[in-house]
Amino acid sequence: MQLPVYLDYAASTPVDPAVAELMADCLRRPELAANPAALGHAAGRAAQALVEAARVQVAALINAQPEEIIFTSGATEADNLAVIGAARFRQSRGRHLVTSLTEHKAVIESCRHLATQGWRITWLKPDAEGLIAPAAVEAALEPDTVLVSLVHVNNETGVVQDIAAIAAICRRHDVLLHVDAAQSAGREEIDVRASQIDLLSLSAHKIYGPKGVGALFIDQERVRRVSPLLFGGGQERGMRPGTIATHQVAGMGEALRLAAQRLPDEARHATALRDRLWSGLQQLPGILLNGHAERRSGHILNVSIAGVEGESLFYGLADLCVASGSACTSLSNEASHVLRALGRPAALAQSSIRFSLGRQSTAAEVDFAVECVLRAVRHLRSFSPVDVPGA
Amino acid sequence: MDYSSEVARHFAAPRQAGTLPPGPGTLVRGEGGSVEQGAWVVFQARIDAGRVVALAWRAYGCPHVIAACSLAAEMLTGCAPAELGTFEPLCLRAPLDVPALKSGRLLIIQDALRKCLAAWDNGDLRSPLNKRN
Repeated sequence: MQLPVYLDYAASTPVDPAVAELMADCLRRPELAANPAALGHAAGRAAQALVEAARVQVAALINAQPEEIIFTSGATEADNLAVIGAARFRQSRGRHLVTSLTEHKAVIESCRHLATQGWRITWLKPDAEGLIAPAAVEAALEPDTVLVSLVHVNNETGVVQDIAAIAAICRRHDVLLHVDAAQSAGREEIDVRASQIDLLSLSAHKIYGPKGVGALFIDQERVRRVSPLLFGGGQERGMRPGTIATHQVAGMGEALRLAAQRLPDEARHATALRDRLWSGLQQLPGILLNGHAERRSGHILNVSIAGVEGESLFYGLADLCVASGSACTSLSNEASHVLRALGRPAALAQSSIRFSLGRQSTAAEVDFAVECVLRAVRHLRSFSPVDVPGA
Repeated sequence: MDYSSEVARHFAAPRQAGTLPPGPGTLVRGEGGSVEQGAWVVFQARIDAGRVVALAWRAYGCPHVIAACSLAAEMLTGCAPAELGTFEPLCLRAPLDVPALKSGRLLIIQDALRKCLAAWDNGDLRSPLNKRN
Protein backbone atom coordinates (compact mmCIF):
# COMPACT_ATOMS: atom_id res chain seq x y z
CA MET A 1 0.00 0.00 0.00
CA GLN A 2 1.38 3.37 -0.95
CA LEU A 3 1.51 5.94 1.82
CA PRO A 4 -0.03 8.31 2.45
CA VAL A 5 -3.35 6.72 1.51
CA TYR A 6 -5.35 9.11 -0.64
CA LEU A 7 -8.92 9.53 0.54
CA ASP A 8 -9.57 13.05 -0.68
CA TYR A 9 -11.20 12.38 -4.04
CA ALA A 10 -13.81 15.06 -3.41
CA ALA A 11 -11.01 17.61 -3.39
CA SER A 12 -9.51 16.31 -6.60
CA THR A 13 -8.96 13.12 -8.50
CA PRO A 14 -5.98 11.72 -10.34
CA VAL A 15 -6.28 12.16 -14.09
CA ASP A 16 -7.37 8.94 -15.75
CA PRO A 17 -4.49 7.50 -17.82
CA ALA A 18 -6.65 7.49 -20.96
CA VAL A 19 -7.47 11.15 -20.38
CA ALA A 20 -3.83 12.02 -19.78
CA GLU A 21 -2.82 10.22 -22.95
CA LEU A 22 -5.45 12.03 -24.98
CA MET A 23 -4.34 15.38 -23.61
CA ALA A 24 -0.69 14.61 -24.21
CA ASP A 25 -1.55 13.63 -27.77
CA CYS A 26 -3.30 16.97 -28.24
CA LEU A 27 -0.24 18.77 -27.00
CA ARG A 28 2.19 16.72 -29.09
CA ARG A 29 0.40 17.05 -32.41
CA PRO A 30 1.35 20.29 -34.17
CA GLU A 31 -1.82 20.27 -36.24
CA LEU A 32 -3.80 20.68 -33.02
CA ALA A 33 -1.77 23.60 -31.78
CA ALA A 34 -3.92 26.07 -33.64
CA ASN A 35 -6.46 28.33 -32.00
CA PRO A 36 -9.82 26.55 -32.20
CA ALA A 37 -11.42 29.91 -33.06
CA ALA A 38 -9.20 30.29 -36.16
CA LEU A 39 -11.70 28.72 -38.49
CA GLY A 40 -10.17 30.24 -41.57
CA HIS A 41 -7.65 27.42 -41.89
CA ALA A 42 -7.54 23.67 -41.58
CA ALA A 43 -5.48 23.62 -38.40
CA GLY A 44 -7.94 25.84 -36.57
CA ARG A 45 -10.82 23.74 -37.77
CA ALA A 46 -9.08 20.58 -36.59
CA ALA A 47 -8.70 22.06 -33.13
CA GLN A 48 -12.27 23.24 -33.18
CA ALA A 49 -13.46 19.74 -34.13
CA LEU A 50 -11.83 18.39 -30.99
CA VAL A 51 -13.48 21.06 -28.87
CA GLU A 52 -16.87 20.34 -30.37
CA ALA A 53 -16.42 16.61 -29.89
CA ALA A 54 -15.72 17.28 -26.23
CA ARG A 55 -18.76 19.51 -26.02
CA VAL A 56 -20.90 16.60 -27.29
CA GLN A 57 -19.39 14.31 -24.66
CA VAL A 58 -20.05 16.77 -21.82
CA ALA A 59 -23.61 17.36 -23.00
CA ALA A 60 -24.28 13.63 -23.25
CA LEU A 61 -23.49 13.10 -19.58
CA ILE A 62 -26.39 15.33 -18.52
CA ASN A 63 -28.77 14.88 -21.49
CA ALA A 64 -28.16 18.39 -22.75
CA GLN A 65 -27.62 19.69 -26.26
CA PRO A 66 -24.00 20.46 -27.15
CA GLU A 67 -24.80 24.08 -27.87
CA GLU A 68 -25.98 24.42 -24.29
CA ILE A 69 -22.48 23.76 -22.93
CA ILE A 70 -20.13 26.67 -22.24
CA PHE A 71 -16.58 25.74 -21.29
CA THR A 72 -15.06 27.57 -18.35
CA SER A 73 -11.92 27.31 -16.22
CA GLY A 74 -13.70 25.14 -13.67
CA ALA A 75 -16.80 24.80 -11.56
CA THR A 76 -15.95 27.91 -9.56
CA GLU A 77 -16.07 30.02 -12.68
CA ALA A 78 -19.19 28.18 -13.85
CA ASP A 79 -20.87 28.96 -10.51
CA ASN A 80 -19.89 32.61 -10.77
CA LEU A 81 -21.14 32.81 -14.35
CA ALA A 82 -24.40 31.10 -13.48
CA VAL A 83 -25.20 33.13 -10.39
CA ILE A 84 -23.83 36.54 -11.28
CA GLY A 85 -24.37 36.20 -15.01
CA ALA A 86 -27.96 35.01 -14.74
CA ALA A 87 -28.81 37.57 -12.04
CA ARG A 88 -27.44 40.46 -14.06
CA PHE A 89 -29.07 39.32 -17.29
CA ARG A 90 -32.45 39.03 -15.60
CA GLN A 91 -32.29 42.01 -13.30
CA SER A 92 -35.09 43.77 -15.11
CA ARG A 93 -37.36 41.00 -13.79
CA GLY A 94 -36.15 41.22 -10.25
CA ARG A 95 -33.21 41.29 -7.88
CA HIS A 96 -33.87 38.51 -5.41
CA LEU A 97 -31.98 35.21 -5.21
CA VAL A 98 -32.43 32.14 -3.04
CA THR A 99 -29.59 29.89 -2.01
CA SER A 100 -28.47 28.03 1.10
CA LEU A 101 -25.94 28.37 3.89
CA THR A 102 -24.28 25.11 2.85
CA GLU A 103 -23.33 25.97 -0.72
CA HIS A 104 -19.79 25.90 -2.01
CA LYS A 105 -17.97 29.15 -1.40
CA ALA A 106 -18.08 29.87 -5.13
CA VAL A 107 -21.86 30.26 -4.90
CA ILE A 108 -21.84 31.92 -1.48
CA GLU A 109 -19.28 34.53 -2.46
CA SER A 110 -21.02 35.16 -5.79
CA CYS A 111 -24.25 35.82 -3.90
CA ARG A 112 -22.44 38.01 -1.38
CA HIS A 113 -20.98 39.99 -4.23
CA LEU A 114 -24.43 40.52 -5.69
CA ALA A 115 -25.67 41.61 -2.27
CA THR A 116 -23.10 44.40 -2.29
CA GLN A 117 -24.57 45.49 -5.60
CA GLY A 118 -28.11 45.68 -4.23
CA TRP A 119 -29.48 42.20 -4.82
CA ARG A 120 -31.40 40.59 -1.96
CA ILE A 121 -30.35 37.10 -1.00
CA THR A 122 -32.38 34.62 1.03
CA TRP A 123 -30.09 32.12 2.74
CA LEU A 124 -31.92 28.88 3.45
CA LYS A 125 -30.82 26.96 6.52
CA PRO A 126 -30.75 23.19 6.12
CA ASP A 127 -32.11 20.85 8.73
CA ALA A 128 -29.71 19.15 11.12
CA GLU A 129 -29.02 16.49 8.50
CA GLY A 130 -28.20 18.96 5.79
CA LEU A 131 -31.38 18.74 3.72
CA ILE A 132 -33.13 21.75 2.26
CA ALA A 133 -36.86 21.11 2.22
CA PRO A 134 -38.47 21.88 -1.13
CA ALA A 135 -41.26 23.58 0.80
CA ALA A 136 -38.68 25.90 2.31
CA VAL A 137 -37.50 26.86 -1.16
CA GLU A 138 -41.05 27.60 -2.22
CA ALA A 139 -41.70 29.65 0.92
CA ALA A 140 -38.62 31.75 0.18
CA LEU A 141 -39.69 32.70 -3.34
CA GLU A 142 -40.87 36.25 -3.84
CA PRO A 143 -42.43 37.98 -6.82
CA ASP A 144 -39.02 39.33 -7.86
CA THR A 145 -37.01 36.12 -7.37
CA VAL A 146 -35.00 35.38 -10.50
CA LEU A 147 -32.75 32.52 -9.44
CA VAL A 148 -32.45 29.66 -6.98
CA SER A 149 -28.97 28.19 -6.64
CA LEU A 150 -28.48 24.91 -4.78
CA VAL A 151 -25.78 22.27 -4.79
CA HIS A 152 -26.77 18.78 -5.84
CA VAL A 153 -24.26 16.83 -3.72
CA ASN A 154 -22.71 18.82 -0.90
CA ASN A 155 -18.95 18.79 -1.25
CA GLU A 156 -18.35 18.43 2.50
CA THR A 157 -21.06 16.07 3.69
CA GLY A 158 -22.15 14.33 0.50
CA VAL A 159 -25.79 15.14 1.26
CA VAL A 160 -27.95 14.90 -1.86
CA GLN A 161 -30.66 17.54 -2.26
CA ASP A 162 -34.00 16.72 -3.84
CA ILE A 163 -33.26 18.68 -6.97
CA ALA A 164 -36.17 17.26 -8.96
CA ALA A 165 -38.72 18.44 -6.42
CA ILE A 166 -37.07 21.82 -6.07
CA ALA A 167 -36.85 22.21 -9.83
CA ALA A 168 -40.56 21.52 -10.20
CA ILE A 169 -41.27 24.30 -7.74
CA CYS A 170 -38.98 26.70 -9.53
CA ARG A 171 -40.55 25.85 -12.87
CA ARG A 172 -44.03 26.41 -11.49
CA HIS A 173 -42.98 29.87 -10.29
CA ASP A 174 -40.96 30.65 -13.42
CA VAL A 175 -37.76 31.03 -11.42
CA LEU A 176 -34.48 29.78 -12.82
CA LEU A 177 -32.74 26.94 -11.01
CA HIS A 178 -28.97 26.68 -10.96
CA VAL A 179 -27.48 23.44 -9.69
CA ASP A 180 -23.85 23.06 -8.68
CA ALA A 181 -23.07 19.54 -9.88
CA ALA A 182 -19.31 19.60 -9.26
CA GLN A 183 -19.53 16.60 -6.91
CA SER A 184 -22.40 14.80 -8.61
CA ALA A 185 -21.66 14.86 -12.33
CA GLY A 186 -20.32 11.46 -13.27
CA ARG A 187 -21.23 10.00 -9.88
CA GLU A 188 -25.02 10.43 -9.83
CA GLU A 189 -27.37 10.21 -12.80
CA ILE A 190 -28.22 13.70 -14.01
CA ASP A 191 -30.80 14.54 -16.67
CA VAL A 192 -31.22 18.28 -16.98
CA ARG A 193 -34.33 17.84 -19.14
CA ALA A 194 -36.17 15.39 -16.92
CA SER A 195 -35.12 17.31 -13.80
CA GLN A 196 -36.00 20.69 -15.29
CA ILE A 197 -32.66 22.24 -14.41
CA ASP A 198 -31.90 25.56 -16.06
CA LEU A 199 -28.21 26.02 -15.27
CA LEU A 200 -25.70 23.42 -14.12
CA SER A 201 -22.03 23.73 -13.14
CA LEU A 202 -19.55 20.98 -13.94
CA SER A 203 -15.96 20.29 -12.95
CA ALA A 204 -13.46 18.09 -14.75
CA HIS A 205 -10.94 17.48 -12.02
CA LYS A 206 -13.52 16.04 -9.63
CA ILE A 207 -14.13 13.15 -12.03
CA TYR A 208 -10.66 12.11 -13.23
CA GLY A 209 -10.18 14.94 -15.68
CA PRO A 210 -7.68 17.77 -15.63
CA LYS A 211 -7.75 20.79 -13.40
CA GLY A 212 -8.39 24.15 -14.99
CA VAL A 213 -11.49 23.28 -17.00
CA GLY A 214 -15.18 23.05 -16.30
CA ALA A 215 -18.46 23.83 -17.96
CA LEU A 216 -21.77 25.55 -17.48
CA PHE A 217 -24.96 24.12 -18.93
CA ILE A 218 -27.33 26.89 -19.99
CA ASP A 219 -30.79 25.78 -21.05
CA GLN A 220 -31.28 27.22 -24.52
CA GLU A 221 -35.02 27.62 -24.22
CA ARG A 222 -35.48 29.05 -20.75
CA VAL A 223 -32.21 30.85 -20.14
CA ARG A 224 -30.49 31.31 -23.49
CA ARG A 225 -28.02 33.83 -22.19
CA VAL A 226 -26.23 35.03 -19.11
CA SER A 227 -24.22 38.22 -18.79
CA PRO A 228 -20.53 37.47 -19.26
CA LEU A 229 -17.99 38.05 -16.53
CA LEU A 230 -15.14 38.35 -19.01
CA PHE A 231 -14.96 40.45 -22.15
CA GLY A 232 -12.94 39.70 -25.21
CA GLY A 233 -13.07 37.75 -28.41
CA GLY A 234 -16.62 36.45 -28.30
CA GLN A 235 -15.88 32.76 -27.87
CA GLU A 236 -18.52 30.50 -26.31
CA ARG A 237 -21.32 32.56 -27.82
CA GLY A 238 -19.93 35.67 -26.17
CA MET A 239 -20.60 34.37 -22.71
CA ARG A 240 -17.09 33.19 -21.94
CA PRO A 241 -14.48 34.72 -24.19
CA GLY A 242 -10.91 33.56 -24.21
CA THR A 243 -9.02 31.06 -26.30
CA ILE A 244 -10.21 27.60 -25.46
CA ALA A 245 -7.53 25.23 -24.23
CA THR A 246 -8.08 22.41 -26.69
CA HIS A 247 -6.24 19.80 -24.64
CA GLN A 248 -8.12 20.77 -21.48
CA VAL A 249 -11.59 20.51 -22.93
CA ALA A 250 -10.66 17.34 -24.80
CA GLY A 251 -9.53 15.90 -21.50
CA MET A 252 -12.76 16.96 -19.82
CA GLY A 253 -14.84 15.40 -22.57
CA GLU A 254 -13.01 12.11 -22.34
CA ALA A 255 -13.16 12.08 -18.54
CA LEU A 256 -16.90 12.61 -18.55
CA ARG A 257 -17.40 10.03 -21.29
CA LEU A 258 -15.53 7.46 -19.21
CA ALA A 259 -17.42 8.48 -16.09
CA ALA A 260 -20.75 7.95 -17.81
CA GLN A 261 -19.67 4.45 -18.86
CA ARG A 262 -18.44 3.53 -15.41
CA LEU A 263 -21.01 5.32 -13.29
CA PRO A 264 -23.07 2.37 -11.99
CA ASP A 265 -20.04 0.23 -11.12
CA GLU A 266 -18.11 3.09 -9.55
CA ALA A 267 -21.08 4.25 -7.54
CA ARG A 268 -21.47 0.72 -6.14
CA HIS A 269 -17.73 0.51 -5.45
CA ALA A 270 -17.60 3.84 -3.62
CA THR A 271 -20.74 3.18 -1.62
CA ALA A 272 -19.52 -0.21 -0.44
CA LEU A 273 -16.21 1.26 0.70
CA ARG A 274 -17.89 4.22 2.33
CA ASP A 275 -20.15 1.89 4.31
CA ARG A 276 -17.15 -0.26 5.27
CA LEU A 277 -15.36 2.84 6.49
CA TRP A 278 -18.32 4.06 8.52
CA SER A 279 -18.82 0.62 10.00
CA GLY A 280 -15.18 0.49 11.08
CA LEU A 281 -15.16 3.97 12.53
CA GLN A 282 -18.21 3.26 14.64
CA GLN A 283 -15.97 1.23 16.96
CA LEU A 284 -15.18 4.64 18.39
CA PRO A 285 -17.57 6.07 20.95
CA GLY A 286 -18.38 9.73 20.41
CA ILE A 287 -18.25 9.66 16.62
CA LEU A 288 -21.02 11.50 14.80
CA LEU A 289 -22.12 11.27 11.18
CA ASN A 290 -22.47 14.64 9.49
CA GLY A 291 -25.31 14.70 7.01
CA HIS A 292 -28.30 12.55 6.27
CA ALA A 293 -27.69 8.85 6.76
CA GLU A 294 -29.45 7.81 3.54
CA ARG A 295 -29.63 10.82 1.25
CA ARG A 296 -25.94 11.07 0.58
CA SER A 297 -23.56 10.40 -2.21
CA GLY A 298 -21.66 7.13 -2.12
CA HIS A 299 -18.20 8.68 -2.23
CA ILE A 300 -18.22 11.04 0.77
CA LEU A 301 -18.22 10.33 4.50
CA ASN A 302 -17.99 13.19 6.97
CA VAL A 303 -17.69 12.51 10.68
CA SER A 304 -17.11 14.57 13.80
CA ILE A 305 -15.12 13.09 16.67
CA ALA A 306 -15.84 14.28 20.20
CA GLY A 307 -13.16 14.99 22.77
CA VAL A 308 -10.21 15.58 20.47
CA GLU A 309 -8.88 18.82 19.08
CA GLY A 310 -8.91 19.11 15.31
CA GLU A 311 -5.32 20.12 14.63
CA SER A 312 -3.98 17.33 16.82
CA LEU A 313 -6.35 14.85 15.22
CA PHE A 314 -5.01 15.67 11.79
CA TYR A 315 -1.44 15.66 13.01
CA GLY A 316 -2.03 12.08 14.05
CA LEU A 317 -3.41 11.18 10.62
CA ALA A 318 -0.26 11.92 8.67
CA ASP A 319 -0.56 8.63 6.77
CA LEU A 320 -3.92 9.66 5.32
CA CYS A 321 -4.86 12.34 2.82
CA VAL A 322 -8.24 13.48 4.10
CA ALA A 323 -9.96 16.81 4.54
CA SER A 324 -10.53 18.55 7.83
CA GLY A 325 -13.56 20.26 9.21
CA SER A 326 -11.80 23.49 8.94
CA ALA A 327 -12.94 25.42 5.94
CA CYS A 328 -12.74 23.08 2.99
CA THR A 329 -10.36 25.42 1.29
CA SER A 330 -7.93 24.27 3.94
CA LEU A 331 -6.32 27.67 3.76
CA SER A 332 -8.23 28.86 6.77
CA ASN A 333 -8.56 27.58 10.32
CA GLU A 334 -12.21 28.59 10.55
CA ALA A 335 -14.68 25.86 11.27
CA SER A 336 -16.53 24.61 8.21
CA HIS A 337 -19.51 26.81 7.40
CA VAL A 338 -21.37 23.72 6.23
CA LEU A 339 -20.96 21.86 9.51
CA ARG A 340 -21.78 25.00 11.49
CA ALA A 341 -24.99 25.35 9.47
CA LEU A 342 -25.86 21.77 10.48
CA GLY A 343 -25.58 22.87 14.10
CA ARG A 344 -22.16 21.50 14.99
CA PRO A 345 -20.32 23.66 17.54
CA ALA A 346 -17.10 25.15 16.19
CA ALA A 347 -14.84 22.77 18.14
CA LEU A 348 -16.70 19.70 16.90
CA ALA A 349 -16.73 21.04 13.36
CA GLN A 350 -12.96 21.43 13.55
CA SER A 351 -12.50 17.88 14.76
CA SER A 352 -14.32 16.57 11.73
CA ILE A 353 -12.88 14.49 8.95
CA ARG A 354 -14.14 14.24 5.41
CA PHE A 355 -13.17 11.00 3.72
CA SER A 356 -13.88 10.75 0.02
CA LEU A 357 -13.41 7.58 -1.97
CA GLY A 358 -12.59 7.05 -5.58
CA ARG A 359 -11.93 4.78 -8.46
CA GLN A 360 -8.62 3.55 -7.06
CA SER A 361 -9.74 3.19 -3.43
CA THR A 362 -9.50 -0.31 -1.98
CA ALA A 363 -10.86 -2.17 1.00
CA ALA A 364 -7.32 -2.47 2.37
CA GLU A 365 -6.95 1.32 2.25
CA VAL A 366 -10.25 1.78 4.03
CA ASP A 367 -9.26 -0.68 6.75
CA PHE A 368 -5.94 1.09 7.13
CA ALA A 369 -7.73 4.42 7.43
CA VAL A 370 -9.94 3.01 10.17
CA GLU A 371 -6.86 1.81 12.07
CA CYS A 372 -5.20 5.21 11.72
CA VAL A 373 -8.23 7.08 13.01
CA LEU A 374 -8.79 4.70 15.91
CA ARG A 375 -5.15 4.93 16.91
CA ALA A 376 -5.02 8.72 16.65
CA VAL A 377 -8.25 9.27 18.56
CA ARG A 378 -7.46 6.77 21.29
CA HIS A 379 -4.05 8.39 21.75
CA LEU A 380 -5.55 11.87 22.12
CA ARG A 381 -8.39 10.73 24.35
CA SER A 382 -5.92 8.95 26.64
CA PHE A 383 -4.88 12.33 28.05
CA SER A 384 -7.85 14.51 27.15
CA PRO A 385 -9.81 16.14 29.98
CA VAL A 386 -12.98 15.88 27.89
CA ASP A 387 -15.37 13.20 29.05
CA VAL A 388 -16.60 11.13 26.12
CA PRO A 389 -19.18 8.58 27.29
CA GLY A 390 -18.04 5.09 26.51
CA ALA A 391 -14.47 6.12 25.78
CA MET B 1 1.61 23.70 9.57
CA ASP B 2 5.10 22.37 10.24
CA TYR B 3 5.99 20.99 13.64
CA SER B 4 9.46 20.61 15.10
CA SER B 5 10.99 17.24 15.89
CA GLU B 6 10.63 18.10 19.60
CA VAL B 7 6.89 18.59 19.17
CA ALA B 8 6.70 15.32 17.27
CA ARG B 9 8.58 13.55 20.05
CA HIS B 10 6.38 14.89 22.84
CA PHE B 11 3.19 14.35 20.83
CA ALA B 12 4.00 10.71 20.13
CA ALA B 13 5.07 9.96 23.71
CA PRO B 14 3.78 12.67 26.03
CA ARG B 15 5.63 12.81 29.34
CA GLN B 16 3.63 12.63 32.55
CA ALA B 17 0.27 12.72 30.80
CA GLY B 18 -2.70 11.45 32.74
CA THR B 19 -3.74 11.42 36.37
CA LEU B 20 -1.68 11.08 39.53
CA PRO B 21 -2.47 8.01 41.63
CA PRO B 22 -3.05 8.36 45.36
CA GLY B 23 0.16 8.78 47.34
CA PRO B 24 1.96 10.70 50.07
CA GLY B 25 1.86 14.47 50.10
CA THR B 26 -0.80 16.90 49.05
CA LEU B 27 -2.57 16.73 45.71
CA VAL B 28 -3.63 20.00 44.09
CA ARG B 29 -5.25 20.72 40.77
CA GLY B 30 -5.50 23.68 38.43
CA GLU B 31 -6.95 24.18 35.00
CA GLY B 32 -7.02 26.80 32.27
CA GLY B 33 -8.78 27.39 28.99
CA SER B 34 -11.73 25.55 27.52
CA VAL B 35 -12.75 23.54 24.52
CA GLU B 36 -14.31 26.68 23.08
CA GLN B 37 -10.98 28.49 23.36
CA GLY B 38 -9.27 25.68 21.48
CA ALA B 39 -7.08 24.65 24.40
CA TRP B 40 -8.04 23.18 27.78
CA VAL B 41 -5.30 22.15 30.18
CA VAL B 42 -5.55 20.53 33.60
CA PHE B 43 -2.49 20.06 35.82
CA GLN B 44 -2.21 18.00 38.97
CA ALA B 45 0.67 18.45 41.34
CA ARG B 46 1.67 16.32 44.32
CA ILE B 47 3.55 18.41 46.84
CA ASP B 48 5.54 16.71 49.57
CA ALA B 49 8.27 17.94 51.87
CA GLY B 50 8.25 21.32 50.18
CA ARG B 51 8.76 20.03 46.63
CA VAL B 52 6.55 19.21 43.66
CA VAL B 53 7.29 15.49 43.68
CA ALA B 54 4.95 14.61 40.84
CA LEU B 55 3.20 16.52 38.11
CA ALA B 56 0.64 15.19 35.66
CA TRP B 57 -1.53 16.86 33.07
CA ARG B 58 -4.40 16.36 30.70
CA ALA B 59 -4.87 18.52 27.65
CA TYR B 60 -7.24 19.20 24.80
CA GLY B 61 -5.32 21.23 22.27
CA CYS B 62 -3.09 21.41 19.27
CA PRO B 63 0.23 19.51 19.06
CA HIS B 64 2.09 22.55 20.41
CA VAL B 65 -0.11 22.63 23.52
CA ILE B 66 0.39 18.92 24.12
CA ALA B 67 4.13 19.18 23.67
CA ALA B 68 4.28 22.25 25.91
CA CYS B 69 2.40 20.47 28.69
CA SER B 70 4.73 17.50 28.37
CA LEU B 71 7.87 19.64 28.47
CA ALA B 72 6.58 21.87 31.28
CA ALA B 73 5.76 18.84 33.40
CA GLU B 74 9.30 17.53 32.93
CA MET B 75 10.81 20.91 33.77
CA LEU B 76 8.73 21.55 36.87
CA THR B 77 8.88 18.15 38.56
CA GLY B 78 11.06 18.54 41.62
CA CYS B 79 10.66 22.30 41.84
CA ALA B 80 9.44 24.33 44.80
CA PRO B 81 5.68 24.98 44.74
CA ALA B 82 6.24 28.71 44.24
CA GLU B 83 7.82 27.96 40.87
CA LEU B 84 4.45 26.78 39.59
CA GLY B 85 3.44 30.43 39.85
CA THR B 86 6.59 31.95 38.44
CA PHE B 87 7.00 29.57 35.52
CA GLU B 88 7.20 31.54 32.31
CA PRO B 89 5.52 29.46 29.60
CA LEU B 90 6.95 31.56 26.81
CA CYS B 91 10.27 29.87 27.60
CA LEU B 92 8.73 26.86 25.85
CA ARG B 93 8.48 28.70 22.55
CA ALA B 94 12.07 28.26 21.50
CA PRO B 95 12.62 24.57 22.31
CA LEU B 96 9.29 23.67 20.67
CA ASP B 97 9.43 26.26 17.90
CA VAL B 98 5.96 27.45 18.80
CA PRO B 99 4.71 30.02 16.29
CA ALA B 100 4.01 33.48 17.67
CA LEU B 101 0.31 33.24 16.88
CA LYS B 102 0.04 30.38 19.36
CA SER B 103 1.65 32.21 22.27
CA GLY B 104 -1.77 32.69 23.83
CA ARG B 105 -2.18 28.95 24.18
CA LEU B 106 0.99 28.78 26.26
CA LEU B 107 -0.57 31.28 28.64
CA ILE B 108 -3.39 28.79 29.22
CA ILE B 109 -0.74 26.42 30.58
CA GLN B 110 0.43 29.23 32.85
CA ASP B 111 -3.16 29.70 34.07
CA ALA B 112 -3.42 26.03 34.98
CA LEU B 113 -0.10 25.98 36.84
CA ARG B 114 -0.89 29.16 38.77
CA LYS B 115 -4.19 27.68 39.85
CA CYS B 116 -2.32 24.67 41.16
CA LEU B 117 -0.23 27.02 43.26
CA ALA B 118 -3.31 28.94 44.36
CA ALA B 119 -4.92 25.68 45.45
CA TRP B 120 -1.79 24.85 47.45
CA ASP B 121 -1.67 28.32 49.01
CA ASN B 122 -5.37 28.22 49.85
CA GLY B 123 -5.22 24.72 51.25
CA ASP B 124 -7.66 23.65 48.54
CA LEU B 125 -7.02 19.92 48.51
CA ARG B 126 -8.55 17.97 45.64
CA SER B 127 -9.18 14.33 44.97
CA PRO B 128 -7.78 12.93 41.73
CA LEU B 129 -9.00 14.55 38.55
CA ASN B 130 -12.68 14.26 37.76
CA LYS B 131 -13.33 14.47 34.04
CA ARG B 132 -16.07 16.65 32.76
CA ASN B 133 -17.41 17.51 29.38
